[in-house]
Amino acid sequence: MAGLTIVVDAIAILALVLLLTLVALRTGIPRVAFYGLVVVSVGGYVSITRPWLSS
Amino acid sequence: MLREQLDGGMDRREFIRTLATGGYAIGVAQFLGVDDFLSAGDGEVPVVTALVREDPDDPWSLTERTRYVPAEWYAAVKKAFELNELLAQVAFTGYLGSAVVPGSYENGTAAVSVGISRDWVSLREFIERLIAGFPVDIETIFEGDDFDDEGIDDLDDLEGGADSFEPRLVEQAHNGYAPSGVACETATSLATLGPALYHPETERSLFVTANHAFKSASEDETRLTLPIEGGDPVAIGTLSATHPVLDLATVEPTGELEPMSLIDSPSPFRVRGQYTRFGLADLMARGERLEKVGAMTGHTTGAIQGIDAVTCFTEAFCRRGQIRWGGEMDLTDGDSGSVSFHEDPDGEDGDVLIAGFNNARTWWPGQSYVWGVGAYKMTERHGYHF
Repeated sequence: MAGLTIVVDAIAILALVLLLTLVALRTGIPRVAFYGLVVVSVGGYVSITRPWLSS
Repeated sequence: MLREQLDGGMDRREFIRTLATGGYAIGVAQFLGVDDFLSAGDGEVPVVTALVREDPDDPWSLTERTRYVPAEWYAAVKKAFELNELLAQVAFTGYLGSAVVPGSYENGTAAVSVGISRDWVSLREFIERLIAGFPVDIETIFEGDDFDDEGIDDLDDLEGGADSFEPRLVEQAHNGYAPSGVACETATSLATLGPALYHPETERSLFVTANHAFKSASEDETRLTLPIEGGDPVAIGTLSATHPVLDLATVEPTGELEPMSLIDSPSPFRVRGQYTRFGLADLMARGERLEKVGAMTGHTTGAIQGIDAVTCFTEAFCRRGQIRWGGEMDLTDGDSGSVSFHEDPDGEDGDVLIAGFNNARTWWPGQSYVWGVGAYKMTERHGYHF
């Protein structure tokens, strides 16, 4: 179960960062904003997926 | 929402998962090189500070390294480079040379230092009008008639005596490689061997030393030898190209020894790349020092005094792209051909990046520094890189 979580997390976060990179490229946002977005999205991802794991 | 989750009791596993995924996300972003194309925060601009080997053992794997610097500082230094170029092009009577002196990042300033032969008021006014209010430091180098620039044509004679020094010799021709920082000999003089120099066209590594070491040798005396501690000297190569303006001579290896990107010292330095013009400006802005290992004076360090300097009074032509650093005691006859370097902040222990060549030192009163051509100038002019 834990192994599967790690794999899914790795793929999901990879996709997330790729998406954010594309967004950052289009909008030309500064570095600080990009990393801010990364941190907030990761936090969001973890909190959203939490209930699925505990069930 | 996140706040509620945290308050709602984040267990240990959850906490670790957040840290791990966050670290992984930033790692992925770094791997993608996101930093290189994202715009910097307000008031910052990216500059290329160095060309660095991705693979330390592959001299052809050079990649650009960027750094974010304050826009105000960048504009001031860029303007100083332009004005310095303008001064060199105008080359008015009395102009002996000039250099760019970047200020600190906090101040966001830069200045141009100009050397003139006589302190004429009209000359000062002319320079001030030419550079229109930019910070300038005008130095009168030769007041009076005691300086005869006709007489200066041989750098060897003017570098000062080397009587009190014993040259650093290679102990043995180990592993088939010859490192930098040890003595090498032409038919007529002794100099320091530089680290391996590479040229993209030939894809070969070359030995390098100061061109003036070959100056008084006759045309067929093109051999470079390496004196060995307690042994016979070894012929390492023959002269392949001379660049008098840069004061650079490349030597093609003909013997068993190959050039190496290594600087000899009790704990050897590995050459990982070289600084750009803005990389040198960055070092100066942060008050970083340069180092060298010469065959005579050995390992010394010193502060940078000026970059992108123009020196017009040592020869009939002007030398461009010079670095002025240290003091005149840091270099003596036989140290020419050594390189100035600075540790690579992102490299492994002992990794260094080359700033430039050391060709000579000041022999005139009023100034005290070691001068030589910057590595970026060698790349710009002829494509060579360390």
